[in-house]
Amino acid sequence: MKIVAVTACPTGIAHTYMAAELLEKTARKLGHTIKVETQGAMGIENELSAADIAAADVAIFATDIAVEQEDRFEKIRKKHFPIHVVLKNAEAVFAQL
Amino acid sequence: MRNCEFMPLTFSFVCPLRQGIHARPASLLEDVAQRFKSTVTLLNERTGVSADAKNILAIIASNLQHNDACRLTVSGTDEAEAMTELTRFLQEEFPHSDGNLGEATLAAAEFELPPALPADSAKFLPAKPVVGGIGRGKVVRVGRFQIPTALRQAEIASANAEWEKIGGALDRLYQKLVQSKANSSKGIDGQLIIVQRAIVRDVAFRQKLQETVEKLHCSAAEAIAQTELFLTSQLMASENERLRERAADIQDVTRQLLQEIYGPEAIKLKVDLTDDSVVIAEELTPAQFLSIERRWLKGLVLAQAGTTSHTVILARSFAVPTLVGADLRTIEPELSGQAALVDGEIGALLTHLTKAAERYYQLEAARLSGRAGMRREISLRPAMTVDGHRIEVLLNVGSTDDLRTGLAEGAEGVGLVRTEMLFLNHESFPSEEAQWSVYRQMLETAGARPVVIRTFDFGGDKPVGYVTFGAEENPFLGCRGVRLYRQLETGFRSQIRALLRAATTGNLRIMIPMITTLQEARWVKKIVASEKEKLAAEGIPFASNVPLGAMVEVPAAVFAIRELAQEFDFFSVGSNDLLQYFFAADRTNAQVAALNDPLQPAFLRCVQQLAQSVHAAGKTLSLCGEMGGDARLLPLLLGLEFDSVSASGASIPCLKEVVADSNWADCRQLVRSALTATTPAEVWDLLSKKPSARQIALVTPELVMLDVDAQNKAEVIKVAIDRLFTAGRTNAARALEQAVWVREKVHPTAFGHEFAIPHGKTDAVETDSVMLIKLRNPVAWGGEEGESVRTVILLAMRESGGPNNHLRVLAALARKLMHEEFRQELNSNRTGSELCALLAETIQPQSRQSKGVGL
Repeated sequence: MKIVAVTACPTGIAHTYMAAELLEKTARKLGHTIKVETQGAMGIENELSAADIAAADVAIFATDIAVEQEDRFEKIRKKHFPIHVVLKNAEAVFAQL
Repeated sequence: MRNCEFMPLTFSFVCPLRQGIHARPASLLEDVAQRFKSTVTLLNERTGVSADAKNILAIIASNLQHNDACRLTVSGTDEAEAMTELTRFLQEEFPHSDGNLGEATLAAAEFELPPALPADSAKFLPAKPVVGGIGRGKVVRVGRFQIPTALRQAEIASANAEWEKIGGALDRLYQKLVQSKANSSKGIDGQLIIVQRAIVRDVAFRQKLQETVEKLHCSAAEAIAQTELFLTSQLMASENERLRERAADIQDVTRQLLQEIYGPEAIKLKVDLTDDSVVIAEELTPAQFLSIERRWLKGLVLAQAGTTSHTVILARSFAVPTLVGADLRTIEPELSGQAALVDGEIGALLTHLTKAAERYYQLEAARLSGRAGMRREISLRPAMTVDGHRIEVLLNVGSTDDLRTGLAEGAEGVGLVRTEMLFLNHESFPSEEAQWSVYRQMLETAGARPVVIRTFDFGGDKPVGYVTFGAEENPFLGCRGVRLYRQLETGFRSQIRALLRAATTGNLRIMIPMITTLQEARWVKKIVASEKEKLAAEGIPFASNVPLGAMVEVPAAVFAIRELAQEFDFFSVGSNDLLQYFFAADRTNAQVAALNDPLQPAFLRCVQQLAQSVHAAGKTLSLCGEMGGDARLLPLLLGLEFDSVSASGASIPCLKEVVADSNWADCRQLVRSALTATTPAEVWDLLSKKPSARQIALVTPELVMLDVDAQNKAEVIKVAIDRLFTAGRTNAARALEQAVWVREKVHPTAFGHEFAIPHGKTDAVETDSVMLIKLRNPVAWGGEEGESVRTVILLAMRESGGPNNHLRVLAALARKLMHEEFRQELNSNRTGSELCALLAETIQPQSRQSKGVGL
């Protein structure tokens, strides 16, 4: 599967990046391709382009706060998970896609 | 034509005063009533007592309590106008005439327990903390002093015999006060005795006592009680805080008089402590405080007292943890003798402490003493910013004792010796010899360090018994400081001689208060020169090259520095007076005192101009007012290029810590921004966002804690943040703890594998920090699954960033934690410094910044 994801947490200094790392690591293990945009204290990084989103099958929102520029994702299937759910069991997250 | 029979007008209301009627609201009511010819009567419907509203004592005696139903009756020729005005007053002003309690209720509402101190771990009585620290001892309740009714109502033989008792007691008390001056070393004790002596000798006081005995044909006790009530209610009604403080002094005197007459058994004044104690009282007079043997006084809880009352100032100078505004009605009487703890950090009196509370206070004790150790180390070094800029941190003192203590705290010299105490403690001008010996002792104690001695600075607002000032409408604008010297030239000359002679033993500088014009400066110089000539002619040894400086307290002096600098070698800002003259706001008048805000950009611009003029003239500038003692403001003084700053001994360690934590370049930038700010709030914001300049690594071995014996999550977080506090990485441990808990409440930060990563982003952090805490036993971290945690990574970051922005490295660390191998390394059996090295290596800036795997 081709996946795009956004991670964001309230303080934006730890969980945003932990979730991103874990999503990337787990996707590799499961044979998916993924690009994860982090919306943390450093702002938006590894930003998803319209092309990235158009090419993907599904978008994962691993967020505890509102996603910035959510309108980019209007046309794609979205799955939302609280960050701690992703951290607790990332493989289960992918199983639900 | 109006009918001569007046129909009395009435107005019913409910007493809105939380503290019930007392002197201040009573005096306001009296004031309004006095404006009219009509009779005005106040009836307390609860007690049935009615009072003439034109008599303040009668109003107080009506004993109105909160919510008592009352009725005001007005009758007379101008009753309609009187009623309109009185009704307006009772509705609009009377409810707000009761100042103090509001503050206390606010404190109670703000009270919040720290997470590591469970609500059921003790009984808590919240109150406003005014002196920090933690103290424990058994509860000693000091009741409101009341003159025994039996004494007051005693049958008397003759009014004359009663008056003789009082007269004799006045004389004996005066003698005692004269003798006790010799024994008092601390400045503030001495000042108190002077005031009391003045009251005892006061003619009006004496007359009032005599009059009362004769008029009422009553006992000495009753006459003293009536006189005390009469005088204190007048004083308490004043808007001027200084006058209100005098009321407590009057009470101190009248109680001592009673004791002189009836003996210490009948009139118990002294608060006797025999063990570590926490004293709880409605109110405590300064003399009562001073009667306490201080080694036993571990904490103080007062129902009534402002943050600036004399007793609170005393408590602060002796570092006794103190709370005010406590609601004592909630304390059970049987508490006396039981163990209690005063927490001046969170603002609560604790009793019935359980094991959990004991554990919390063990941690608190370690936190406070750990920080003191760090401060001490910095304090003993010369004050220097991170980028090598020096500022001298000096001492303000009134006695040799203060000087000795302050130098031990790390002061680099003395920026201000107030000589007033020396003069106030004497019956007449002290002799040149007496002064010489005191100055010499101080200079000897200070050794080679500079000592700035200010020539006597009193005036209408600081009266001295043996000097007559004449009545002044406005003493602050009257004959003070140098303005008094022409009148007291002999005294001034003797002080200059004593100083010049003492200067042979040390590094003396002489400073003149209240300099306003060049003419004053020249006059002072002329006197100094002529005394030097005389000393030389008499063959008496003296130092001829003593630097002479001026206090800058009057705005006019700021604009005359170029001329004044021809006469003076150095300048020192007296910020309290410069502020009140700059803003034209009496600092003792509560209604306008807040105008005297040193953060007002206009004031900062004034000080900046002063600093520039002083330095352009090649002279040095210091500051010795209260502003200098507030460590939070020190970055401004650094940026304004002050050469030194002077404060009381207790502030020295904090000041030195701030200097060691600052970058001079940052401070100058801060001042540039502050000068263009528009409000004090903006300046305050700039100050609180100033980052620490210390180049401390994100993680150091002291931030790695192994085998931590914590019982629960709250304790883990407290222990970690306390370590950041003792390491000087946060100055606001509670605020940081709160920020971390706010994040935990969103969702607990345990992420599996027995790891948790609590974190906070707040300017309560001085420098970004990473901690590793390994627990002896796992603790539950909360969340749906109640995850247990054994290894904790705590991240503390500044909200507004700073020169070392660590977001990127923290992000890298967070990512790394998702890898099993890294977690295993952290869990491995390594030493603290090995683990620190491992963390440091992980968070190197060059560490891999993981990016997504491209699509």
